[in-house]
Amino acid sequence: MQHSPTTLAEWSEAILAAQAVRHSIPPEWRMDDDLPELSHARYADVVEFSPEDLVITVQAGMTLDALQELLVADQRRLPVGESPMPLGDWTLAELLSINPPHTDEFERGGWRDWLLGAKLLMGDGRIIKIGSRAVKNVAGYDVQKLIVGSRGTLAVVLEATLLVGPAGHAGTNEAVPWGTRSSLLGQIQRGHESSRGYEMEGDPWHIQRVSLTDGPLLQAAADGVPHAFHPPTATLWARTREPLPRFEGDWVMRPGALVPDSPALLPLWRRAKEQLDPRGVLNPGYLRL
Amino acid sequence: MSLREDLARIVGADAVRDSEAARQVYDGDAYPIERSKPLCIAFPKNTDQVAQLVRYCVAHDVPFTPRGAGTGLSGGAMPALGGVVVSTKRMTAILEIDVANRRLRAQSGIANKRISDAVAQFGLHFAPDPSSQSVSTLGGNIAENAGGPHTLKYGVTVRHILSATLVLPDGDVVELGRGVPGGPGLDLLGVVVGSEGTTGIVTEATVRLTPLPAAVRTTLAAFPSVRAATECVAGIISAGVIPAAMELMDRGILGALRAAFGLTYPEDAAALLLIECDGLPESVEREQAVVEAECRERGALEVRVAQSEAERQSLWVARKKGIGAMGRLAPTIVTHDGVIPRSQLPQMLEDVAEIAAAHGLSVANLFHAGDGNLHPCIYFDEREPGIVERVISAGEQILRKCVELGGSVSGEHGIGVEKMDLLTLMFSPDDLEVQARTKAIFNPGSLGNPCKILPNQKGCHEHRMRWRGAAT
Ligand SMILES: Cc1cc2nc3c(=O)[nH]c(=O)nc-3n(C[C@H](O)[C@H](O)[C@H](O)COP(=O)(O)OP(=O)(O)OC[C@H]3O[C@@H](n4cnc5c(N)ncnc54)[C@H](O)[C@@H]3O)c2cc1C
Repeated sequence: MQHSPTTLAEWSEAILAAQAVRHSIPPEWRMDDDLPELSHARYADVVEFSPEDLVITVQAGMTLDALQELLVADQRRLPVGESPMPLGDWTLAELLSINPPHTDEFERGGWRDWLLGAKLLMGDGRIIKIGSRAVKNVAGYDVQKLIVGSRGTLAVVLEATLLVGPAGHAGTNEAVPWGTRSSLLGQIQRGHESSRGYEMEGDPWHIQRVSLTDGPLLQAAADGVPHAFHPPTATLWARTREPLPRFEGDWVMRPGALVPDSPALLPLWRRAKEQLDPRGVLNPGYLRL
Repeated sequence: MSLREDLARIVGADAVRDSEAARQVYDGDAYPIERSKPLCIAFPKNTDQVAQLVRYCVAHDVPFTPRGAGTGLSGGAMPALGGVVVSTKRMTAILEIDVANRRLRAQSGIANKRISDAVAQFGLHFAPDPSSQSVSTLGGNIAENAGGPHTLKYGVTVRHILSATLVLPDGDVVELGRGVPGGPGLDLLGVVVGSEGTTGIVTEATVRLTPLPAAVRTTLAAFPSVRAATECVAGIISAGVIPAAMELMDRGILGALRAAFGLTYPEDAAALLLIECDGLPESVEREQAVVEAECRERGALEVRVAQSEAERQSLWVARKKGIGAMGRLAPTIVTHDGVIPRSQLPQMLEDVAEIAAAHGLSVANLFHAGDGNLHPCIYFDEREPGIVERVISAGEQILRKCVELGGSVSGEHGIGVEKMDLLTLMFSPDDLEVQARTKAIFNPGSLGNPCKILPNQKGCHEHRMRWRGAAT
């Protein structure tokens, strides 16, 4: 069953009528569930675009490709780097709910940095506003930080106000040398073999993307601090269920339910869900508490 | 046993104060309008002592308020309901410098600038650069999500915090963040940054270090009108260049600088724009060409480009000494903090001037133009009857205008106690209820830094008159 609201009132009604809904999860990131789907398919218009402010507000059903197309017409661009999974078809609702990493994250920021404000639908049907259209803002609690990457378990993003960049703007950390692919591969393979995990010595490496033939696809954007995750394809997916070689501070992003890094965080995660979606109606099961 | 003796058992007798003089020193921060004395001030040395203090307070129903250097400008460190001030003054150690991974871990009481000083030898720095950086603390910067002139390019504090140890308001200790940016999961750290010390006490943090730029070009341009200068800001950004900093000073500031330091600028200059580009030499040159072309196109009267580090420092004097110089104009200065989308700057500055004139007040502007972050400084003599009310009313009208233009009532100074009521200009009761619930994830009780940020908190309103009264 799928429902595609077109107005704010319809969004509220849809949530109030439901016991549980799934929303904002790209198909390949879904768990096996038969939840009714609340879709952004008919909620994808531009709300306001001011190219001179580098800020755009759109309804969250807009896809990344559509957004970039619109921005490029005014020499603007959302500075998303490369990603091993194609993100172009993802809606903003999906991008914000998953918070997928990309190669330029360390330099140009990620979804949490770009989301300046939003209109949210809460699990009790209320529609609220968070943040603002200003690039700097210390007014109240940054609810948007919590929403991005929460797999739609705390609220439904209806409209997003995003900070964008100039189309041809070079990154901020451009002075960083880029590691050559071959030497980097060598380092990573060595790390892969050794029990100590990956070690990036000497010059901070600026890794873009490394594909190991038989191992994980590594995507690193931090200077010397590798980030790793798997593309959510079925074959590799199976493999992520095995423990990956780990190194300090790394993380792996997997489809399905989110789990806290440490048990100490569990009470806070539980309270987040209880406070923001007390009815437990939004994407049940996608936070493993 | 007395409160003092109990706290001494946790932190040591030399690390608790409760003299009348001490209680007065710790009754507020750099926001002068409201004051409230604590019962005791404690100076813990580490996370464990902070956690013990908090647990003690919870067990005995005593409110507690974290405090760094006390340079906050909205009353965040004021112990609104008395109780214990937990000062990070003795928590200033650098715990680890990880050059290869460009990270540094320190206790939260360390002064911002000490971090950059410690890693300069490695060609690195801590990018957030509030003007208060020689004293304001890492913990205070985290709590206020502090910004500075170079925030335009490098982003506010939240972009530079990789993990933090937090003593929750129930005394539990959690580590938030992984020491690397990004990743799956709920971003609790992102909520703590900017929550003005109401989600717990940060005791340690790992910050991200940024390479010092290979090249820097600094330009000071004088314009015949504020409108021309603000249009130049918009023009540079529109042309696809994001400088490291773009700071604007208007005629009021120029007058003060002339009077205080004898600095000279072109006679008919109504505004100065300080623009700094940094990065790789090639890209800096490219950006600099755009900057200079835009300045000329917008009718700049004079464009000075620093040819040496000494010249660069001298161009920054106007920005760095501007506020100090204002002391020459009047005995009291109130600096406001509001943000608007930067394309609205030309209009907004005209509105600021009009609002001030309508209230019979003088105003000068010195601010982060690139971010659209205004700091109208109203200067006056508070001995003049009725003037304080006019100053408050003008401030509110300015911030109301910021919100109307799609901006915010605070860009970097926070809400604290100062702007609690103004938050309702931006947010509906439903919006604020969700914010209250977000706070409750960390702080469901009412002892941890009470009566801050959210208006209409239970048991706070009736204290307001006392805070105001204590300040006069
Ligand atoms: C001259 C001057 C210039 C300034 N310039 C700037 C500027 O350019 N940009 C800018 O953003 N701000 C500026 N400020 C404001 C102020 O310096 C910043 O807000 C700063 O981050 C406060 O740090 P602090 O250590 O003084 O914190 P405090 O004033 O001691 O506390 C501020 C808030 O943080 C909380 N807090 C303190 N330590 C902790 C901790 N360890 N854990 C949890 N909460 C904590 C307090 O409870 C309080 O709510 C300026 C202030 C002055 C006086």
